[in-house]
Amino acid sequence: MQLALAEIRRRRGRWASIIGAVAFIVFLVLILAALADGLFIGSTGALRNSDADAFVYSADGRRSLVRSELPIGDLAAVAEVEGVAEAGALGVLLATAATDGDLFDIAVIGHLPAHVGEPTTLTEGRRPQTGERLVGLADVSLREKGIGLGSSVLLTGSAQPVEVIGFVSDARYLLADTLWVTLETWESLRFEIRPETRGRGSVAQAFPIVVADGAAVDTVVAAVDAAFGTTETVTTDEAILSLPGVEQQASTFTAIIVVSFVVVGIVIALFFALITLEKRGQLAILKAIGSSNWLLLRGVLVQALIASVAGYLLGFALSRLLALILPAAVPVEFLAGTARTLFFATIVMGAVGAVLSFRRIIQIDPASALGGEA
Amino acid sequence: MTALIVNDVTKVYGAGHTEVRALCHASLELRDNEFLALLGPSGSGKTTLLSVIGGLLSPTEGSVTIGETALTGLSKKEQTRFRANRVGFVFQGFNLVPFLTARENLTVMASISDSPRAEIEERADQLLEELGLAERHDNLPEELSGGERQRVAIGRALVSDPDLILVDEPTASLDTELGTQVVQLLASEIKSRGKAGIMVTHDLRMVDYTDRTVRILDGELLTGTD
Repeated sequence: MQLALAEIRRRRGRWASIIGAVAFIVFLVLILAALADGLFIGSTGALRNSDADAFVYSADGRRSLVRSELPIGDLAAVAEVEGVAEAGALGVLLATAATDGDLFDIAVIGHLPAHVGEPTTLTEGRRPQTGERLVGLADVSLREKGIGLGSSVLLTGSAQPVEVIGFVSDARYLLADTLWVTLETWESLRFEIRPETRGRGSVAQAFPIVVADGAAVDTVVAAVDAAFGTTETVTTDEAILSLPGVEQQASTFTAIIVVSFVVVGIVIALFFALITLEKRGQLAILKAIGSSNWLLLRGVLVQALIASVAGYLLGFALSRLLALILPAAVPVEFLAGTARTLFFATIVMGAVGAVLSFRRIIQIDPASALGGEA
Repeated sequence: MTALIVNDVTKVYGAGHTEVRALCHASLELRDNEFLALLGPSGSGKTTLLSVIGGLLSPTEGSVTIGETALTGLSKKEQTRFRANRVGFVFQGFNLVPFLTARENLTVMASISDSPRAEIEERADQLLEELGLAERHDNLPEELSGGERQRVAIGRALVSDPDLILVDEPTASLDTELGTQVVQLLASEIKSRGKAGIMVTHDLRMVDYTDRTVRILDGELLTGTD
C-alpha cells in the first residue's frame, strides 16, 4: 500500500494521464447515459407515471396508442374480467399549439378522472372532475412555453381553448409536452382537429388496468384477451418498450455505454501493461527482497481503484458542468441511480484492467534482480 | 555458529545439446560474523551461486541451509517469506525504488517482512544515521549521489535484521574511491552486527575488506581459498 500510494503521489504526471483518460470516457458515458435517460423519461412518462399494471389495446393497433381504437362501451366489460381491480381509458391526440406565435408539438391525452391512467404526480393546482369540459392538466414542461395556471391552450385547427387548472410532472409522451383532459374533451377536440374520426363513435385508444391484489399480471393479461378476442393486452413494461423508438433508443445507448466501459477496461489494462513492462527490473528487485506476488498485485489493484474513482469523480464533475450549459431542448436527465451504477461499473472495469496485468507481474523472475539484469 | 551451509550444489540449465552446467558440486560454509568474497570472472557461476544461496533459484542437486532452515526444502512461497525476514540483498547498480525517499526505501521493508513497522522505522533511522544519510533521508534516489544510493541499498539490506547479507557487485557503478568506501562501510555494518555476508565481486581490491575469499571458475569453487 505504501508503495502504491507513494508511486501515485510522486509520479503525478503519469497518473494524471490515466485519470484524465478514464475521466474523459466516464464523461462521455455519463452524458450518453443522461441523454438515454432523458429520452426514455421524456418518451414514456405518460404510460410510466400511472398506477397501471397493464394496457389493453385493440389487436390491430399493434401496441400503439395512436393506432389502437377500442369502443368505450367495452370498458365496463374489461373491468369485469376476473383479476382486474380497476380499469381506465386513454386516448391520444397529437397536435400543435402556439404561444407567442411559436408553434410546438403537444399530445392531448384524454383520460377518465379518478381512474387508473391519469398521471400520479400532481405538482400544482387541481385535477379535472368527471364531466368537466375544456380544462386540463399540463405537464410541467409546458411552463417553458410560457403556460401557467389559468393559461389557455389553443390547438391548431381548434376553436376550443383548454384552460390549464393544474400541473403534473414526468408525464410527457414521445418527447412531446402533454395536456391531460377528460375523455369527453379529448373526443370533442379530436372530432374538431381530425374530422375523419367522427364517424367512429365514442372510442378510447387503450384501457389501462390495475390487477387485483394476489392476481398474477400475466394471467389477467391473458384473461382479458381471451374474453374479447380482439384485444392485445400487455404489461406496462411491454407497453413502454413498444412506444415508437423507445426500445431501439435504449438498446443503442446501452450498446454504446457497454462498449465505452470495455474501453475503460482496455485503457487501464494497457496502462498497467506498459508500466509493468517499464518497472520489470524494480518489480524483480522487490520480489527478490521478499515481496510476495500478492503484495505487488494488491498494490496494482489499489492503484487501479484510485485511478477509477478519481477518473469517475472528474468525469462526473465535467458532465455536470456541461449539463449547466446544454440548451434546455436537449433531453438530458442525470439520475442518481444511473450515476451509482456507472460508478460501480467504472470500478469493476478498472479492477478488471488491473487484473489483466497480474499474469505479467507473476511471471517476473526474482532471480533476474541479480547479475545486473534488473 | 554456522550461518550457511552450501552442500554439493549443482545447477544445470537446459538439457541435451543445450545443457549448461552453471554450478558443479559447490560446497561452502560460512560462520556468523564472517564476510566472504566470492571472486570470479564473468560467467564463472558466481551470480548463480548467490541466487541459489538466496533462494532465488533452486539447485538441480544439493542443498542450502541458512541457520537451522533448509532453504531447498521450502516451497516458493516459503522461500519468498524467508528472504523477506532472513536474507538481505545489495544489488548491482543501486536498484532503489525510484519514487521512494531514502528513508522510505528502508521502511518499505515493513510491508514486506514480518517485523513490526515501529521496529523497522526505528532501525531505519539508526541505519541512516550510521550510514551518514540522516540529512538525506527525505531525498529521492535521483537526488542522491551514486555512493549515497549504494549506502541506502546497504541500509535496506540490513533494516529487517537478516541473518545473511548477499551482495552482488556493489562497486559496479562506482569509481574506485567511492567503491572502496562503500565496501568498507558494508563490511563494518555486517561485522558490527555479527551477521554473515557474501560479496560477489571481480574486483581484487575489494577482497581486502573481507575475512575470506573463495574463487569460482566454470561453476566450480576452487580449493585453496585465501
